[in-house]
This record gives sequence, structure tokens and C-alpha cells, in this order.
Amino acid sequence: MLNLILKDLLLLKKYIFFGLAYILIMIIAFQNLPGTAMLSAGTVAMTYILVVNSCAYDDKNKADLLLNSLPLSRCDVVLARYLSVFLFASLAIIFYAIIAGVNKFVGLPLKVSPITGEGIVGALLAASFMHSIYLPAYFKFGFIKARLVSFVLFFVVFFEAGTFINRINSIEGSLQVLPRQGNIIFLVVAMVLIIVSYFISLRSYNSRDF
Amino acid sequence: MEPILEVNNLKKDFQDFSLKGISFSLQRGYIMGFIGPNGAGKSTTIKLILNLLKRDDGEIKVFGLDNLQNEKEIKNRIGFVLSENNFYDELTVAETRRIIAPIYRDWDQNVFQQYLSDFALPANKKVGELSGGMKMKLSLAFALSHHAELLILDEPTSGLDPIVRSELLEILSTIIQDEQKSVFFSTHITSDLDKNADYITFINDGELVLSSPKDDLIENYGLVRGAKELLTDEARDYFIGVKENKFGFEGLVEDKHFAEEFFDGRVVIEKPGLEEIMIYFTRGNGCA
Repeated sequence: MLNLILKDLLLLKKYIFFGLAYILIMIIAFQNLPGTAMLSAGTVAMTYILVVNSCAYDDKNKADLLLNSLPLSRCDVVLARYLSVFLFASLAIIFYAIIAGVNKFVGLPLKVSPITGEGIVGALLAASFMHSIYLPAYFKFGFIKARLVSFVLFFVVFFEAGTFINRINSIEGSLQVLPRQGNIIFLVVAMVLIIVSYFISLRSYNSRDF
Repeated sequence: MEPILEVNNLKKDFQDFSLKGISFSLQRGYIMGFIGPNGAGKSTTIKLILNLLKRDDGEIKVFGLDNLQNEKEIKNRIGFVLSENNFYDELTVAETRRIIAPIYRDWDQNVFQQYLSDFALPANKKVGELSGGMKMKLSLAFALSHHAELLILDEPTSGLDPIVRSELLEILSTIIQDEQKSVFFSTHITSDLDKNADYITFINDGELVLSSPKDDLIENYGLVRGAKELLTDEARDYFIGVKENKFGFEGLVEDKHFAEEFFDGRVVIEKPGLEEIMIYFTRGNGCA
């Protein structure tokens, strides 16, 4: 299964390299966003671009035929795709941290919000929400038919990602929990979303003909 | 001895096509040619064996194991070549190996390296930049580098030039020489099988037409040519398929010895090729 994640990294190496540039553009574009929302927006955008391009490569090369002829279970194929979401989101957060560090060290005239627990939770929650809807559609209908879902989701989640932090803060306020407890609650929500989504995807993929 | 591949009453329904309960088996140490016209169900059968399609009914056993319950074990011991290139065009040969090699339990890097060298495959070239013949050779190198006991090839020769086809057929003949490996080889180019195949399984329109040793087919079936007046209604019933023109007829019979007696030396009877067998079975008694 790790080989399938390696396959995505090899296929997407150019996109990953440009990921640094995407994050920088996100930071420049979202200078006016409150708090650490620019981290969420950047993470969602980069994760989306990498996941969709990875799915596009699989579709173009009819990879389901190859992968399912190898001694791999369909569970391996689906799980690798979900793990790659977290890998790409982690890469986006690392790129953000690099840019934030360089900005501070060099003294560029950019406002880069520091990485906080809320920022990371917001980024992971937004990326989890988006892909927990997109991936079941992808595994059920294939890349072409799931494109509409990804298109709609991208605009909804991407433009809403900036307000995720504020919502998290207000929900934490209404639940009367400390930010740290709130982060854990939202991380659990993200994990539950992804796990439920994974089982729906696996069920669809297991019954598909190639 | 247990067959290396056993298919029993295999069924699969699509909207516009059905595989109608086909059965055949292949023993170790032999090459089976799986023939039929385009759309007969050859690729469907192969995809069912590889569990790329879900069967509706029937049973598939590979190495005596059910192909669904023991999927990973079986696929570790199978080498496959699909009808079109399914590697990632964007990755190099070496990158593709990095992904695929660790998936196989018994991957043998030395064997793979040897095939790359024998086939003159450049490790640093992207798969998408290889020619059709090179892509097929790459598939074959992957199929042969993990000590596979059964090779499943779906139309591997279509679109290849005669030289590459001939090379491929020589490799297949070499593979089975230890009498432990087998090759299941689908094609609609029957000349590929004239020299190499030991068994022929022929399907048409989703139904099994025959599954038999190739030599039995060639020895028993007969291509009969004669004058038109010999083709009576009674005679016509003995033919699998007949082609007529204004001078005479040509047809395929299942038992050439019976035909010799029936026509009492008034016809010419020859050994049919696989192509003629396939054509006459597909055409039936409809006259040309």
C-alpha cells in the first residue's frame, strides 16, 4: 500500500514542487483573512490539487486495471488514496511553515499568521470534509463523473475554509470548552468523517467492474 | 494432477452481452490458446479470472484455489499481460519497477534486469515514450520477474509487427519447458497459435464452442472441397459451416474420416487451420 502512495509522489513530483508556490500565492491572496484562515485555505487548495491530479493520472492510464491485477486488495487501493490526503495536507502545512519561517527570517513585507493548533485543526477538518465527500463519488463513479462533485466542493470548501477558524472558535465558545479540548473534538470529527467515508468508498469500489 | 487453471460454468451478464456458463481447464506445462472473434468474451473471461469483473455464477480455480478467496496468493503466482498498456505513461521504467516490485512476494530483480537487457528496454525512459512493441515487452518483463507459474496474456500480439510477435511466441515456448508453468493466451490472430499452442479453447458470442488439444482438432476436423451437386440436404447436416460458389463448395466437418466414407472419395479433404475452424464455427451454415 505504501507503494501506491510512493506512486502518487512520483507522479506528482512537479506539482508538489509547485506546491510551495501555491501556498505562497494563497498567503499573498489571503492577506486580509482573519487569524490562521490562510493556512486552512492554502492546505485545502494544495491537497485538492494534488488529490484530483493523482486521480486524473489514474483515470488517464486506466490504473484500476493494473492495480487490481497486482497482488493488492481493493482495500489497499482505497486506503492508500485516503492516506495520501493526509500526506498532502501535511506537506501543505510544512510548506506553510517554511514560508512563515523564511518570511520571519528575511523580513518580507508579508503578513503570515503563525501556525497554531486551531489552524492545523481547521486545515485538516476542511481537507477531511472535502475529501470525505469527493472520494466516495470518485470510487463509485470514476474520475470523469466525479468531476462535477469535486468542482462544486472546491468552491464551497475553498471559499468557506477561511471562515472555518471563526466557526471553530464560536462552536468552542458555545460548547464552553477550552481551545485545546475543542481542537481534539474537531480532530475526532475529522477522523470520524474520513473513516465513514472510507468504508462507503470501499463498499463501492469492491463492487465495481473494470 | 490438479489443473493449474479450472473454469466451471462461468457466467457474467452485461446489458448487451452475456458469458453463458463456459467451462475449461488447463494442465501444468502447456500453452492454451483462447480464441474467438472480437466481442466473443475472451477479455471478459480473463478479467473474471483476475477478479477485475465480478462473476455472476460459476467457479474459477487457479492452482486449485478459489480466485476470490485466495486472490492475493494467486496473483503473487500469476504473471499477466493485458491487451493495452496499463502502466503509467508519465513514469520511467525504473520508477514503475520501484512501485510494482515490492508488491510481489517473490520478485527477482536479477531476472528483471536480465529481461530489460534482453529486450533492450531503457530503464530511464518514460513508459509513454516506448513503442507498442516495447510496452508489450515491458509488460512481459514484469510478468516474468516474480517466478510466475501461470502466465495470462490478453491479446498480447495485436498491433505488433511480425518480428516482435515471433519473439514473444519464442519466449512463451521457452517458459513452459520446465513443465511446471503454463500459458493462457487469448488472441484472434490464430496463426500465433499454429506453432505454439497445445490446447485450444474457442468461444463465440459468450458460449464455449470447443476446448480440446490442438492436434486433435487438426487431425479430426476436415476441410472438404467438392462439386456443388454433392452438397445434398443430408450432406449439409454434417457440416459445421459451408461456403458455396457457382462451381462448388468448401466446408468444415468435425469428423474427416466419416466425410471420406460419406463422399466416397469424390471430394478433397484437407487439414484445416485454426483460422478456418474459427471462421466456419462463427459463420455456421450461412452460405457465402
